[in-house]
Amino acid sequence: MKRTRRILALVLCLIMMASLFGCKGKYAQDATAPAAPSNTESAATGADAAAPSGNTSYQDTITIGVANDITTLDPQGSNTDANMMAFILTHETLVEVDPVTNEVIPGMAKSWEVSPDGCTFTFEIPDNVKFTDGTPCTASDIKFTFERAKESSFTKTKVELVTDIQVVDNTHIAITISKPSQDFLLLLAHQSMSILSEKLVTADELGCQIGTGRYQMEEWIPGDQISFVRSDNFYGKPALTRRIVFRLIKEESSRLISLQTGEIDVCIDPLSTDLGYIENDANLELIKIPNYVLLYVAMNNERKGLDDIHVRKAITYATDKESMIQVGYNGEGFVLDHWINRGQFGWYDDLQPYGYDLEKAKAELALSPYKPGDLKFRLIYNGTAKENMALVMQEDLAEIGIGLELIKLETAALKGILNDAALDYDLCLYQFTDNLGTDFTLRNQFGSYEEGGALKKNGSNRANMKDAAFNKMIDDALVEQDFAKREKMYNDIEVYLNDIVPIVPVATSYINIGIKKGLSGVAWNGTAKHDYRYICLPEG
Amino acid sequence: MHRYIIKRLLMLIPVLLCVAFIIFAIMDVAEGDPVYSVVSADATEEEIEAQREAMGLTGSLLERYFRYVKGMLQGDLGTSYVSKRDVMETYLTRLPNTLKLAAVTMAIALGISIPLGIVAAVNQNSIKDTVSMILALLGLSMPNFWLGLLLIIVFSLKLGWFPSGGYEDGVLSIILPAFTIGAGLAAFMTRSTRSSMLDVIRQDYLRMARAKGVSERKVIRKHALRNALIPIITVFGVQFSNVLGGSVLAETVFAWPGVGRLVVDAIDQRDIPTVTGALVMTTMLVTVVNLLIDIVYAYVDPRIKAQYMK
Repeated sequence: MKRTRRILALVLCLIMMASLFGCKGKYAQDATAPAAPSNTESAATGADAAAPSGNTSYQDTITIGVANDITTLDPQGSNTDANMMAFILTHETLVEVDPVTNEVIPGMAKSWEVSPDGCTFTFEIPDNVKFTDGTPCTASDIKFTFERAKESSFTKTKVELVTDIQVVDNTHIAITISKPSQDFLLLLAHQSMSILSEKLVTADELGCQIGTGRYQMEEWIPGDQISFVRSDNFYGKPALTRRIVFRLIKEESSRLISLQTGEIDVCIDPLSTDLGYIENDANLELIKIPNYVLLYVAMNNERKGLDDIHVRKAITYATDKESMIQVGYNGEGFVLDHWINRGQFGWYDDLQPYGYDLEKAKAELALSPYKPGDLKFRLIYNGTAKENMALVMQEDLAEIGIGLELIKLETAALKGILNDAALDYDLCLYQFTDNLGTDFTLRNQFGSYEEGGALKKNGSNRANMKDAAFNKMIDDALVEQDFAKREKMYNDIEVYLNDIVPIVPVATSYINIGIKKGLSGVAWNGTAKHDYRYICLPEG
Repeated sequence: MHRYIIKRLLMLIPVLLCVAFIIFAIMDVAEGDPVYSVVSADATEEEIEAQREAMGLTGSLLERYFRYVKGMLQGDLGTSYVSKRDVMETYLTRLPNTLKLAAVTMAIALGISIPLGIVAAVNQNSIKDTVSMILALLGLSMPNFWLGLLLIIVFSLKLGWFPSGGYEDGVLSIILPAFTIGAGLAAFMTRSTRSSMLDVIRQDYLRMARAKGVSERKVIRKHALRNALIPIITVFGVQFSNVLGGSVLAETVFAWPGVGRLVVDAIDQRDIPTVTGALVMTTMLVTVVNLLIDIVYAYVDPRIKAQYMK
């Protein structure tokens, strides 16, 4: 008995001493380490872009803790943010978008010319561009890439206007589109339009993993991590960091603790309730940027009840966006009443928002053929944040006599239902992420096309809206070359959509990232497709 | 004995066929068509059909099932819808991680539960018994993910003794996840050991051994424990099988790339070949482990061995 007590006391003493005197092993960081200056908003782009210089030595490997796994290394095989971040490292696009100004800037193409009719773009690429395996990249590889893009369901809409591609010589290529498009260059800047090697892809499908980027894939362990190493064949300034690792840590708290212990250098998307830990840690820095994720309630406009504009307006008035942001985003968000993303061309400042007003909602419902209690809809969604928001909606709609059945689904099942041609859903709490220009946003979310004498909805048109007048409005705006006129046209489109309310825009929020102090060179992007090409962390 | 082993191995075939069919049927009735989780929202009907064909989703449930079984018999568990990798290859990459974690977990659980259970039983109704049972109750009541996070905060963040996740630091990486899973198992097995030992301790043959002057230590170790082992081995077998199936919560908290996380991620992504393949392989593994446990019974208890011989 005595011996047991002695052993127990000894163990307890050891644990207490270790805790009290801060007996730290190699996995804990010293909170008193001096903070290095940071430069996290660098917008460096292009092959010769300036990156931090001098005689500083940089950490060999930078590890980024991510929440979503990479699923493919074929740029034309998906459109998820996680994959796009890999393509930015391994591949290049002809042009890029400056994350600060949103202007189109050179990528692989060092310059381009546009014909007077606005339909032919001639790009010039440097003569020393090489794929990471050492083979040269020429204009015919670009032609091959764009022709392959027409065959992929993920990329075909980006090149649907392209009618002709001519290889002028090894370093020049001319691309002709059917009508002038103000957004064509923005579409070419998307990572899914990354340049591939004709020779490598033709020989082996895995050849699409090889691009002309600063990095090449080193090892990929699906469900665990993927690493990239600096390419020796890059034609511009070499990257400062030799190796970049994306490590999958799905659990948010574990991801943040890994940053705090120094096992990772970047923590993507920590829990909004845990942000204080980053702000209060002398070794860490919190990056907080408004995102381009437009959260909305899609109303299937062809469903009974939802085909009535008064019912849609009633639902819009009864949507308490502030409360939804509070419960879903912990208050970290902005109410969205517009039809395009913040910062996009054509955003109409004088748009009249509906606001949260249950009396107006009841009045709108009274104008419809339905009485309170007549309508009951199913709302599908995924994730805990959206579940909390859905509960707010359910309560508010009950106030005006509209029933709401909440159905939480796994992401894949939700996408399955939304993409299924049967369109078997009433309402869906979902989001649209992209900043590829106003036309892309409007066309994808609300546009339709003619097939066999009938209108068919575009892919991301979750409202199932088929409106010929709207289609004409966006077609006209796309080709308009007068800046002011074009802006007015998009303003009018915002007003038009505001009148017919095909969806209920709800909110946008923030992207939060925790980083080690001193880390710099990243272009943080509101679409969550961060650009790590110039990432670096001074040693010591 | 050999005939028994062969019989048990043959029984594995209908079990695997049933498991595969159940998974197929469940995934079939789940909401949403898997093909739409792979194609773009802009895919045409022709593209969707081509993709459905490529994913082997054409035909009735039975047709798809028999196609799968045909491949399974040739060692082909299909290709993942998401990563486009061979399912068998992916499973075999994850399996060593799960085996390592399971082995260390069971070692921790046994290392704690057997001594604690014996001490509690031998000192029934004493302070030692009460402390052991309180510890067991604590271990059973603590949720896995909570204990995992707590261990990370104390031993990784505050003390820095162990990494907070991953598996790159070898033995050090495995301690915290194994202890997280092992604590609950140890608690359960401590109670089983105590109860099993209490049953045996009251037997006449132990009284006889003591009367013959055999030391108490020897009575407990050689006579009591050996006879109390059968229920303990049974519990061990069941718990080991559970750990082999993957401890999803601990694997998620510690970013441990094991089989459990593979299956859960695959379910989330409607990746039917990965779910089916991984579960079929796990079933096979669990059945083999159970068979080994049955063989161990025979070596521990001669009466059971005699039954097998019949």
